[in-house]
Amino acid sequence: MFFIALLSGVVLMIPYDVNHPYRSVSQMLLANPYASWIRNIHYYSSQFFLVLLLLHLYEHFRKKQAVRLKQGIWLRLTPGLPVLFLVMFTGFLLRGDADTIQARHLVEQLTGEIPLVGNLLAFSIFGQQGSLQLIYINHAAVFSIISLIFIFEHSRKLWPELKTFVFAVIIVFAAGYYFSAPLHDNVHPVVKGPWYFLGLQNLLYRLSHPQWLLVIITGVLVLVYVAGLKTYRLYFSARKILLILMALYGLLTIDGLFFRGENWHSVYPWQKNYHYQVFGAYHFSKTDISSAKYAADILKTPPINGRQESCMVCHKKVKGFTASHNPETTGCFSCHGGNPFSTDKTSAHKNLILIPGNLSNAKRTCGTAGCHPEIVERTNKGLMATLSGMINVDRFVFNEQDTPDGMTTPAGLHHSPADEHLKNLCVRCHLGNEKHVTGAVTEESRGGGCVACHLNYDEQSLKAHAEYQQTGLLPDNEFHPSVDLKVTNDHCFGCHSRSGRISTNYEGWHETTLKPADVTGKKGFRLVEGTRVFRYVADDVHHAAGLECIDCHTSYELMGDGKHYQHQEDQQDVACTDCHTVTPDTINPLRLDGESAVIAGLRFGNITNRKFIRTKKHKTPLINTFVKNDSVFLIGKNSGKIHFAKPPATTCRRDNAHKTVSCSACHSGWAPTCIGCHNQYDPEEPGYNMLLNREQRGSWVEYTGEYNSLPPTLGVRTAGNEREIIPVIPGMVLTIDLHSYDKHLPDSLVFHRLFAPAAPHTTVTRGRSCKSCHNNPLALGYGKGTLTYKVTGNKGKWHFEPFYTSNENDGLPEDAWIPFLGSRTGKVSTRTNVVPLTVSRQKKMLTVGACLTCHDEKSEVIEQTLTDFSAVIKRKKAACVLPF
Amino acid sequence: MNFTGKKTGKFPFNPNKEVDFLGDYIVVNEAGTTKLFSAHCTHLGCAIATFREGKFICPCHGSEFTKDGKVLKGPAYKSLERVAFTFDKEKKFIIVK
Repeated sequence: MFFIALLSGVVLMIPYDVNHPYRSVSQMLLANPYASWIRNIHYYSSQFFLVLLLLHLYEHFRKKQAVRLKQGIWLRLTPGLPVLFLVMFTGFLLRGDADTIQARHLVEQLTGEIPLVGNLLAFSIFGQQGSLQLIYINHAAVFSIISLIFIFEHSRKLWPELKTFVFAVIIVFAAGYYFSAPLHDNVHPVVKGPWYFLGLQNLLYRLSHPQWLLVIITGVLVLVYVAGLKTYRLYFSARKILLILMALYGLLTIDGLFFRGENWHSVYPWQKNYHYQVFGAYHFSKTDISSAKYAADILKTPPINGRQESCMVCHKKVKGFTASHNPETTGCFSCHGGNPFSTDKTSAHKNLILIPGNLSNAKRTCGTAGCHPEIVERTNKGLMATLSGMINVDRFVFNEQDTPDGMTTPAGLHHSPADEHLKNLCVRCHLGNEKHVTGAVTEESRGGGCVACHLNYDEQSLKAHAEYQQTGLLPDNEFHPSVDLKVTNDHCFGCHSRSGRISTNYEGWHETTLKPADVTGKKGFRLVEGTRVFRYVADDVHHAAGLECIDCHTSYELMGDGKHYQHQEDQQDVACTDCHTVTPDTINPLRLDGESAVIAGLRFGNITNRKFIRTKKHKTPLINTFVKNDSVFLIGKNSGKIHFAKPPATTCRRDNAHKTVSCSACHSGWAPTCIGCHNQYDPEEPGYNMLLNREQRGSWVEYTGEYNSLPPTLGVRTAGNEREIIPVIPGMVLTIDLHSYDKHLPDSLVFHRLFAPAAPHTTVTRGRSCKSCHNNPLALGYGKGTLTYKVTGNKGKWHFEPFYTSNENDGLPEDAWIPFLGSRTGKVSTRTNVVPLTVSRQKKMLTVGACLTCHDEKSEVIEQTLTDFSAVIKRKKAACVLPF
Repeated sequence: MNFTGKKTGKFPFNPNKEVDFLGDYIVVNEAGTTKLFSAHCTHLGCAIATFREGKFICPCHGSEFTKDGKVLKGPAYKSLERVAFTFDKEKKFIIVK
């Protein structure tokens, strides 16, 4: 074996380039099959040699007789052992890949720890940092010759027996033909030494002071020497210890080889992605003699990560990328995986990732080191991935937990009624939902991880994709969809046109219970997903101005900021008053965080002289804003259009009346409402498991009530001593038939009257009128109806006539949150910190409402009430009759 | 011989990057101050190029360090080595002498 290694090594010196080691080895693998085969032969012959050497030692150690060699020879052979390991290890280092660079650091430093001669020895073996010249010489000449001398002295033979040699040649040539010698792809995060040093790597993992390893190695060498002595008691004990040590080292090696992944963390076969985590850095394939024809093409491909990769030999015409994802700089392998060192289609496409960016593979595609690891880490904690709020509120509504708060993920769903409900009707929208089919984003798109937002098809890539779908072959001119920052409203639409319906509200569309046939040919309606009928109401003022979702929402809101949040409003960072302000909080470009600076630079070029707004809540820079002459401007991220952000009106800035009223409570034109929903489980219903993405028999069915677009109700959000009036909508006025799912459950029918905080995204420039809150039963929480103020003599009294009949479960009108001039406690909303207006606050509001029954809201006296209500009341005329 | 980062040179400085890996060095920008650390693990010199969940992680044996270079998890027991540096006039480069 040693001879084969020696001979193949000499031949290997021709294609090997010590100045570009990794690149030259990758070129052998890709386009020089004969050199690759020789390299494989060199590798396997040396590994077999080492295995045979270890077996030979084992054989020696288990013998009870003394060795027949002279003591002097044995004494020389003992230090020869580390030399043999050095010839192996220096050969390993010549790969020049990620493994070997780290291994060199490690062994070089460890050698330097040897007292007195360490540094000299390290320099003599490894030479200058960053250069492999001396290592190459040591491997190819110095250590090989020394090893040869030891072997000769030990065996007293120069040439092997012909039969043995032929047998060894057949074995090694076959192994070299069928299995390529390992080469790290320099993308996978695992770093491991050669297999015979994995035991040492494992031992070092347990040693804070690695100098102990030197003591252990010295001890082992002493034992090896003693094992060759003639005194029975001595050599027998030494051999026994050595056998035990060999067994222990074997166990450490097995652990290192099969059960250690990234950062030397333990990984076991029953864990997800075990094979990738442990062995993913290496790509074994058969020697492909026909690959020689690609030699010229390979040399034309750009070097990526210090090596060549095969993809662009076939996909040479691929285009459609932005500069940051150009395969000439990033390669194809870093996103799509596969085998970068093979030009054979089947082998190159083994373990190919068709859709990189799915959260299941994002860590090894978009999130590899050097790309976006920190973003992938954050995204998995963000609400779009965890759905924490959605899951906990649903369980709360199903009476499965006492509060709507908690941290969870879709992976934590089990088989309770609420979890089944979520699986049937809700969780398709989580970002981790796998995208399996290529193609552009549509209204029906859900999930897909990174590509849910960052993939864009243009006309040419759509055409190419259509051709690919028809023929199953990639067209000559491969137009790849662009991976970029152009996140449009369409990317958000699929998920955000449901539940709170923010996307549709923003564009002015309100969902109805009409059927498509009801509106055929009618103006002012649109179909979503072909079946849902929406009626146009009025779009958000920002939408009318051309602003898109990402013009307000930052990367830290959308991809998470690394923290776990329970509900949407917790993760939400940007607020109206960040831009609509007279006292902007600014940040200069030098203080921007890396991500904001990179995105700002990519979007807007030179940002040196800009002053950016930052959010008041989390201090996040809004990179598409700038402040000039104390005015705030916002630039459309996709459109480039500059918008002036009007400062808030004087009414909004006044620090007395309405100071606790949120912007959206006043400036939301309308909000979608839904009342009278009934939920029942039908075991025969053709259903769907959104977690597993498969059809099933049996599903929860929602029998919806009435959909309306109405001004939102007012609620109170508390945070410590702070109170804020916010818009709320009847989120869950519903019944759930639990016994339809499981007859053994303690509750049969659950009824709830829960309102939910809303972000309607239907902003209007002019806020609500005074009467729209103070004289409006809907705003106060009583539901739709007639609210009249009647004065009899010197007594005034409010009367309320509800529009809807009373619900049999609680006696309140169907759409009410609270009784007229009453209150509710306990389960009232989908948040623990959102409650209805108190009776005292209702009375205060209705007192103003009483004034508004006579006085115009623009009258002087009403204006005065905004400054000092009590003073105005004190000087009221006798004709003014107040209700309370 | 010390392999924990003694290379001299001029390296591009990005004040916006909270953590920047420059081969043998790690730049940490925090609260307006810049610190330079050797990127080599104090256990056995492996080059660190991973910053995850606020921690530097060594790929060879999984030692973990805080953004200040302090050890969070062994086998390493010594903090990452602080490296003295200067800026060029325009503060575009870090200079290690």
